[in-house]
Amino acid sequence: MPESIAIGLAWFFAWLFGQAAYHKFSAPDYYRQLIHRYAAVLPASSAIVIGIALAEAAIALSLLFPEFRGAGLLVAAALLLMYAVLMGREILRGRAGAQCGCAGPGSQLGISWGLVVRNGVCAVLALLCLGTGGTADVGWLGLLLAGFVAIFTALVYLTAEQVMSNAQWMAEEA
Amino acid sequence: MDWLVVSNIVLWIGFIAMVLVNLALARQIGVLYERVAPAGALMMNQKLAVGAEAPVLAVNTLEGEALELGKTAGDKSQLLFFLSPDCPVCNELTPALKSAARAEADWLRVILASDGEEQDHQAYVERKGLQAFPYVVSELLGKTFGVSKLPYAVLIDEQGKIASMGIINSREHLDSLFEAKERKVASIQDYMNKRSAQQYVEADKA
Repeated sequence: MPESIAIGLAWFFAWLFGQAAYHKFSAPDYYRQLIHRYAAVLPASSAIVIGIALAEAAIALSLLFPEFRGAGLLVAAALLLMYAVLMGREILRGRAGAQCGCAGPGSQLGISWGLVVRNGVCAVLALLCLGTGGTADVGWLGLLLAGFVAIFTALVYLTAEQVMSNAQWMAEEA
Repeated sequence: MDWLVVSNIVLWIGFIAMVLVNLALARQIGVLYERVAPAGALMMNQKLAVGAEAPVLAVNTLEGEALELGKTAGDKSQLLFFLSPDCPVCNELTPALKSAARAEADWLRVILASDGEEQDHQAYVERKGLQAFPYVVSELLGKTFGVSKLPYAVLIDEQGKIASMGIINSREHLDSLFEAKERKVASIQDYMNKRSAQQYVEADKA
């Protein structure tokens, strides 16, 4: 994968995990219940929510620095896959449609196979970025391209999420 | 600067603008769905059916009162209202719920239900002034009644049968449950569908 695109995708993942951490820091009570619902073995404790939020914030920060980008991408892919597995397990338990918590406490987005696939695609993208060094000097034009790629990917991500949410509204009405 | 570079930058800007427009359109559809929600509450329940016997469950309220949910013994109907302190829509609905409970007090008993840590709910009850309602904290209750989205309400009639149920996003949705019970239909959507089918047949005959 070209270096500039890998950098752009890393910036996108930094935004994604930064946003996820922000949601958890701003609504710990909501995520406490949600995490307990996803994994009943874990106690409904604020410490777990803060721990996950700190891990996500650390991933977001590491993706902004070339020296730590590789490790950040690896952990990001692992976390995305873990979330996908947890959502898939909930669907198989017959709890499709329950709030997923992916887009913050204000979102009504329910767990669906679409979200599992989305997380899988994101994890594959993160792993593909690992193939490049991520430290080469790409020049200002390369950085500009990385910026475009980051904005484009974030917009596609948000659009996909909105389309899935709309589809759930339509399915409820049918 | 090379013209190719300039043209690439311009194309990227145009491309991102187009994706932004797509996002805005999708968002507008979402907002429209939220605004033009059906007048009746959406049922969305895979465990319960309207007209079936309600599950009977013995529970304790936060105050320690023993309750038998689903068992009305010919007394008042029960409205089980599932909510959560972390659910923004539930918080907005509490004044409407209090007002509906007052207006329908002669035939209806409103019971609030949630899950999680009891101390969180005690603080919530005080904050929102919900002391007048029995408040049950039980994960089993939500599972038994097939609740997957909040706020959700189940109306159990005087005979202990499910009269109506659905997601409640507004006072209108709440009233639609009472209306469905009164009209003896599964939901207001069901009533509207039957009515439009009837109108279609009549128009066809004419």
